[in-house]
Amino acid sequence: MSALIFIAIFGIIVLYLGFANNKAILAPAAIGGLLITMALSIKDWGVGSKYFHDMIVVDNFSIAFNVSMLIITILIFLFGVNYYKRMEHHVAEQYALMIFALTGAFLMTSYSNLIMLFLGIEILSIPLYILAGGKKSSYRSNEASFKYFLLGSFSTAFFLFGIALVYGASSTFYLPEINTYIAQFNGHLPPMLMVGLLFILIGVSFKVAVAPFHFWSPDVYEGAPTLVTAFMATVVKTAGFAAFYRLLGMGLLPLPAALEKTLWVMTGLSLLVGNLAALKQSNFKRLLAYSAIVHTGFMLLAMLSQHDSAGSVLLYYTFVYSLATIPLFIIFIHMKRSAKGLEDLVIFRGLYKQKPWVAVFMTILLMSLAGLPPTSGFMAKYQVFTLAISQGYIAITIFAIVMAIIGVYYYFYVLREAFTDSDEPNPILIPFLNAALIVVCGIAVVLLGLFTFTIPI
Amino acid sequence: MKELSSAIQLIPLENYIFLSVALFSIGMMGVLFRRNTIAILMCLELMFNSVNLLLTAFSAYHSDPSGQVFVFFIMIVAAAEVAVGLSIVVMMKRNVDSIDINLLNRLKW
Amino acid sequence: MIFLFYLLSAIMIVCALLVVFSRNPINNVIYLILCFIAMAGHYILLNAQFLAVVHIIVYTGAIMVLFLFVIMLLNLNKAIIFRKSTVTRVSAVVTGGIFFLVLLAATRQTFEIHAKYPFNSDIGLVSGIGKALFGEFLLPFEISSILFISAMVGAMMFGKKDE
Repeated sequence: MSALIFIAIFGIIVLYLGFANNKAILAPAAIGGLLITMALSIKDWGVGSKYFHDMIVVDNFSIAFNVSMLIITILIFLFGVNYYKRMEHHVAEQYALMIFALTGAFLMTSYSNLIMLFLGIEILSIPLYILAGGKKSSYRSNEASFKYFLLGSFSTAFFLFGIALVYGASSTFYLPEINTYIAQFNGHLPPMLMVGLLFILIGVSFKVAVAPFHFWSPDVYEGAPTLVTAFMATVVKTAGFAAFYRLLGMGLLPLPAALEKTLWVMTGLSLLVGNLAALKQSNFKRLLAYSAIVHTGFMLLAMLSQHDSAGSVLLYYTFVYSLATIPLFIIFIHMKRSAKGLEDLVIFRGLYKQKPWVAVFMTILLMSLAGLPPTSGFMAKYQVFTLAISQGYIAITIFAIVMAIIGVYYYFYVLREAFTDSDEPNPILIPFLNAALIVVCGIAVVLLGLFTFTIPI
Repeated sequence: MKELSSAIQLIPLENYIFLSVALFSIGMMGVLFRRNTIAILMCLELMFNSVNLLLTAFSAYHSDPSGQVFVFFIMIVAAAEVAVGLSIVVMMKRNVDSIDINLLNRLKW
Repeated sequence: MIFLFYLLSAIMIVCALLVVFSRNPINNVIYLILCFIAMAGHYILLNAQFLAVVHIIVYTGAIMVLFLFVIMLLNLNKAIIFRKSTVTRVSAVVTGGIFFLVLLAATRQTFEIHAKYPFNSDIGLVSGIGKALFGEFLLPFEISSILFISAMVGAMMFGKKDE
């Protein structure tokens, strides 16, 4: 709880640091604040307490997810040191907005009341609508921002309608009470309640970009500034899945048959649509957006198993996925700058010739995303598959394995470009800090695969 | 006051549910129908308001204040969202001099 | 009382349809305000006086004025010619209609909804809401300030012209 209060106030402090007119102090200050928040979060480990009339439940699950998101945000801020060097205006606001979004993400990991879920989603989303439009003069950035805003509000309306229907039936917003209310129907839910729960699921699935509700994500990923895209692909996804898991685990388990079928279909669709669309992408950011949709499919599969250990598997999956994604965006931004703003896959040409070590690390990272051993991406997928099979979801797991194999193709397509020589090589400059980030993340991705962790949550 | 409070007991709850379902559908239709971005924002407001009405009706029938408090929060969020949305519209207008939703087509597939 | 309900509902539905189908943005705003005023009437019928007042102040007083302000600022106060293709518009109407029917069917077979507490006409008054807001819902109330500050930062960031 103290972590939540601290980070909320700290965002405002960072905002005020903008008056100092010194961009150099922003990133170190922000990272320092996040480290303090992390210490405050870890302090509560194992205690497990509820605050403010059970509005917030701080347990090991929420702390583990919060710490994972804090680590990822610190990596992104380290990336921001160089990224924001060329930006003249509103740098403090960018950092502050990301910290505000992180506050919303904290709420999404630790709510036990639908009001807190709603506020968490909104506090996460509104800074993101703004961040996506961060390049004010770029029309693509404007468009991404408006699309995200419009579709986000549209889905929020559905989400709220669902909450209203559930409230009307059960007369409560507390997830545990909703759970007991649902249990009394023995799986035969009245239609009104059913529609309400479905709408709530739609609202949350939209935020994590699960297949039928994914249309915003490629456009927004492409149009938004790259650093914001990295933030959306990692922190937002982690927070969304934590919220999703909490919603299912606290409020809806055991899943009513109709909802289970819905989740089943959404899993299959995410895997299929994401893979098929990724196969024909030429823009790297869009490719990563579609690959992110495929990854949501795998995470949904873990959730579908409804097993107690799904939380830990999800944490591991989201963490290693984020660790592999951020350095890829870092490499991408430097290739883009050397190719004078192009975003196609061809910009990776000549990478091996000029910076062989970057190409090697890129191989490791892409292997992790594709789920090949010995990287942690393989272990994450392996855990998901064993969990799903142990709970009897054989057909969908086989489908997922096939999809994972198809996915290898487009990741290696990117690699092939990186190992091809380019006709007109442009100099590639990677500053020391970013190079260090790439190396650290690459090594972490391998090490986490060798020493997998499970956290008792 | 006594007379007013009996109104809740006179009007069946179904009426309020139907009314807000109708409003929600009209709002949704509007979002899909219009091309003017500002009009689309207005239709979104309509959708949020139908939810507000539904929550208030349920809250009154349950005699439970938490539903009405939720409505209060929805109003807060709607106000913040409109502020952000309209500023995005103004920014877009500055860049392309139009608020036509069909101009949002540079990012595609 | 029932008559009042139907009158307010009719005003609301008609105004909402006019918001969707009328083409002049200024007229849209006016119809939406009418719709919101009728909704405030509904709130009073439901004994939610506090919400009725807040609704008028926030929606009609602040949000709709903001809309009007932006329309005037961008000089959009005449009917705009651009229209969606007929296919899009027809499909929008059909989607809306089907959605309405589905939701209606889902909520029609209302099962027995048990009121949580015995009937109490005072919960919508300022004191009832205030007690809930600053007791049970204190944390969401405080945390929503972050929402506002980020919206403010955003509006400022987008609105300011960088040199």
